Formats: sequence, C-alpha cells, structure tokens
Amino acid sequence: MGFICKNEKLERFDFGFFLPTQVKFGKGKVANLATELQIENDLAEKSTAMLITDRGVAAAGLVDKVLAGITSTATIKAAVVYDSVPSDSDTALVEELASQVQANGIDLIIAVGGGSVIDTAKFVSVLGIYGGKAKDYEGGFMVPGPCIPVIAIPTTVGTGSEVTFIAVAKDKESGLKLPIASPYLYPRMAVLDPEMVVSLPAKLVAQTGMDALTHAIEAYVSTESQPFSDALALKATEMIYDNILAATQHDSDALAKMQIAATMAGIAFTNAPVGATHAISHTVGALYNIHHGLANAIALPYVMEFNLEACPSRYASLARAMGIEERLSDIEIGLRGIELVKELRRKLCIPERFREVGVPTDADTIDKICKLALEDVSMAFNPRKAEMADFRPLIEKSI
Amino acid sequence: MIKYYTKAWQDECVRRMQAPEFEAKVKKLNGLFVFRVLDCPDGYDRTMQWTFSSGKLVDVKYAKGVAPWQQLRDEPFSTAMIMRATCPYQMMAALNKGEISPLKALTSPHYKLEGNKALLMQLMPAFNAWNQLCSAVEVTYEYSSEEDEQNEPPAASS
Repeated sequence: MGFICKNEKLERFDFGFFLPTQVKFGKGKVANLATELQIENDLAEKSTAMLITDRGVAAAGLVDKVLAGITSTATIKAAVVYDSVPSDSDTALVEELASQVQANGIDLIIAVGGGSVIDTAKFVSVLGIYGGKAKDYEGGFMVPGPCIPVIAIPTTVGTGSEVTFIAVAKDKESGLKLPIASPYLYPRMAVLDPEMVVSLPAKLVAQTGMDALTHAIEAYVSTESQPFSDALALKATEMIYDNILAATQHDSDALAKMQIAATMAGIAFTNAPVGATHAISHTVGALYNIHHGLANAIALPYVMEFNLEACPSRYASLARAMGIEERLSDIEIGLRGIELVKELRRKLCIPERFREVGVPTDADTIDKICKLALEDVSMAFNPRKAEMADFRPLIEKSI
Repeated sequence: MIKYYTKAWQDECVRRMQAPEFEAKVKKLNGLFVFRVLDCPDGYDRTMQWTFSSGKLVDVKYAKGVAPWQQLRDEPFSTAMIMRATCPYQMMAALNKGEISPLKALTSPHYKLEGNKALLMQLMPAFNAWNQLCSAVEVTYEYSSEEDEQNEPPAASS
C-alpha cells in the first residue's frame, strides 16, 4: 500500500480534467519569446501586442527583457505597454485598457506580473473583443466565445492565474470583488522562466508561496478533488513545503521549483476549486486591502483545523506529503500537518492573526466578515459546509 | 393563486418553458434534473423531475409524500441524473423570492447539490434563465393543502 494516500477509496465516479494552457518552462524562455510564439501555428501571425504589467515588475527591469524577447524577430511589435496595474486592479482600469485594445488593433496580450496583472489581462482579452462593461460577464460562463490570446508570464511564485479560467477585479462602484469564470479565460500559454522570479523580494516569495500552498491544500480537500488534481496538489504541497524557506534566501534552484509548484497548484485548483480559506481572504482582502497571499497564509491553518473532521484522511495525506512519518490516526497526523503549516508561517515571519495587519477585532467586523465569506463562491467547494454559528468561531480565531 | 412548488406551479412553469425564446436560452440543458423539496407548509415532501433534450422539455414528473417521506429522502443519487438538488421548502421559497442568492444556498449545509459541479457551472447561464422564468410565476408561499388544485396525483405513503 502506498505511504501517502494509503490506497484510499475512489469517491467520485464522474469528473473531468481540463488544461488548455500550454506551459513552457526554462531559463531564457522570455529572451526567446518571439521564437516560442512563432512555432505555434495560431500565434505565429500575431503582430500587435499589448504588454500589461505593474510598476514593480517594470522597475525590476523585467519588462525590458520581455520587450527584447518579443521584438527579437520582425513579426511582433509591442504597440502598447501599460505598466501601472495596481495590486487590486479594478473594473475601470480593465475597461480603459480594453478601449485601447480596440483602438490599436491589438491581437495578442502579454501579461507580465502576479495575479492582479494576469487577471487584468484576462478581463481585457474579453472586453477587447466583446466590449461592454466588466460586470456584464460577472459569474460563471458568461463570456460568449474565444478572446484575444493571453501569454502569461508570472513574476511571483503563487498566483496560478497563468493556468486558470478565473479572473477577479475590484468592482469600482461597489468596492467588492467581481469574479468572472469561463473556459475562454484560460491563457493561451504560460511561460515560466526562472529569470523572471530571481529578484522577487523575500517577503513576496513568502506571501505568494503561501498562496500557492493554500491553492494546493484547498484543491486536495476540495469537494471537486479527483485523482488528476490530487496528483498535482500533493506534489505541489511537497515541493512548496520543501523549498519555500530556501526560496526566500534566493536559492535559485528552490525559486525555480517554487515557480513550477505554483503553476501545478494552479492547475490543481482550476479543476478542484478552493474553499473556505479563499472565502475568508477574498473578503478580508476586499474590505481591508490585504495582500491575497498574506490573507491566505493567515487563514489557512485555522481553516485546516475547521475542516479536519470533514476529511481527516485527506489532511493526513497532506501531512505525509510534508514529511510526517509517524503511524498515528488520520486526525492526529492531520493535526501534525497543521502544526507544520503554522511553524512554516512563523519561520516566514508571516503574522498569525488578521489584527496584526490592521483588521479590527470588534463584533460587527467579525459578523461582517462571516456573512460575506459565507456568501463567497469558494464556500461551495469547501469540504465542510457552514452556517454563521459554526463559522464565527473560526473567524474569531483568525482575527 | 398558484401555490409554490405544487403540481399547478409545475404545470404553469412547463407551459412557459415551451416558448421558443426560452428554449433557445437553455439549449445546453440535456438530461434529467431532479429537485427534492422537504417539509412543505402542508406537511408534505415534494419532488419534481425535469428531462431536457437540447433545451426542449421532454418529460416532467411530480410526486409528494407525507413528510418525512423516507423513501424519497433515502433514495441514492443515480448517474442517470445530471443533477439533484435537495433542500427545505423555506430555503427553496427564499430562493424563488430572491431573498437569498443561489450562491448562499449552495454554501449552506441545508442545500445539497449532487452531480458534476464543473458541468453544472457550465450550465449556469441556462440555470439562470430557468430560475428567472420560474420565479416570474405569481405564487403564494403559505398554504395548508392542495385540495383546490386539479390533476393532483395521490400522495405517496411515507
């Protein structure tokens, strides 16, 4: 019998697995981006690109690398470079960029950055073809057809957005997150070049790396988990746990493995959606402007404790993937795994509670977070369903 | 007035669902969709089954039994069903009135959804159109019997 999964019973006899995004990994992939594009029949004739990024990425000199990479042949020119995507991109921005796409005849979008940048590119790819407002496409499967192809070049080790069919932007009017999901949102290609994460600050390695760990763990315990996503989630959990600390010390091998693991976790959770940790981080992030990875890192162990009784064998497998070898009950091994996550969080100097990052602790705030988190779509995929009375103690702990 | 989640309500929904413009909106619906609504105000559990072929409604079934109708409640999910939803009447009524969102219901421990969720998410635009049509039927939610309704099938024993 296998050590990690203990030949567990197949619980689901009806599932699918989908990954239309082509993943290319390698040092120097960005420097040779034009060549990589030209060998793909559907991309070879693209001529006018919009490059979307943020100021941090531009300041690190990564945009210049990409521009050199795409203009190394005569085929593609970058017509528009937008380098000011904020950490919480909003609907007004994506609508403005979409109008530029239409005005300039853009036929390829290149996103260079973290989750906010890649999600912005996805919105623009929809609005650039079909027009209208971002809100017109809110929810699941409202995008009518194929969009402008997106090449996603992640510069963090966490988002997973380079391989998912979901994008989120802040609704400029309500201030809440506006999610869209559609199979047409999968980026055409994800380019993982270790040179693009080599200068990522340690703090962001820690926060985005914990985001990736959250994706892997939540995908593994998702109500929609299945053997294909399980394989990716477990391997990603192991790789992240083994490498995140070294990656914060800028160990290049560890950073490259983190980059791969983050994408594997992304593939896992686009097939087995995330749960309560994300419901909480979406809420707290929107209300108090807290970095998504940081919010996930704070909430993750509390949600693991909350969910443990719903699927102890799953949490035991995750703990074994992180190195727990003792032969104990599933609950006991699961608890050991949760302690490992807490210990990792401490070593990464990540706060343990939301109050440490400015979230108020009064009863009204807790009620508000509970209410909004319980209405987040991610709760539909959490292994333990909840109502206010069950959920409030979890929020109290994490606050 | 029509009583919500009774045979008369289903009949009215069926009549409206035969409109070509509705069928065009739900053309991705295929197969059997089952709903179980428990503890209705007149003391019954009810089930409705809807079978579609490319958006056309090809079969509907309706049954009720005195709550708790154990046979209905214990019936295992079948792969012949695309989806089965089960919830208390009050929650289904709140959904129909728009008092709670489908998302809120989905995340509640009292709403049980069975079937391939990835497939169901792909059908979301069709479900939205279907829900919109059903919630447009004017109904009353509080009732103690269906006696005034015609074509009411006999209740199953619990």
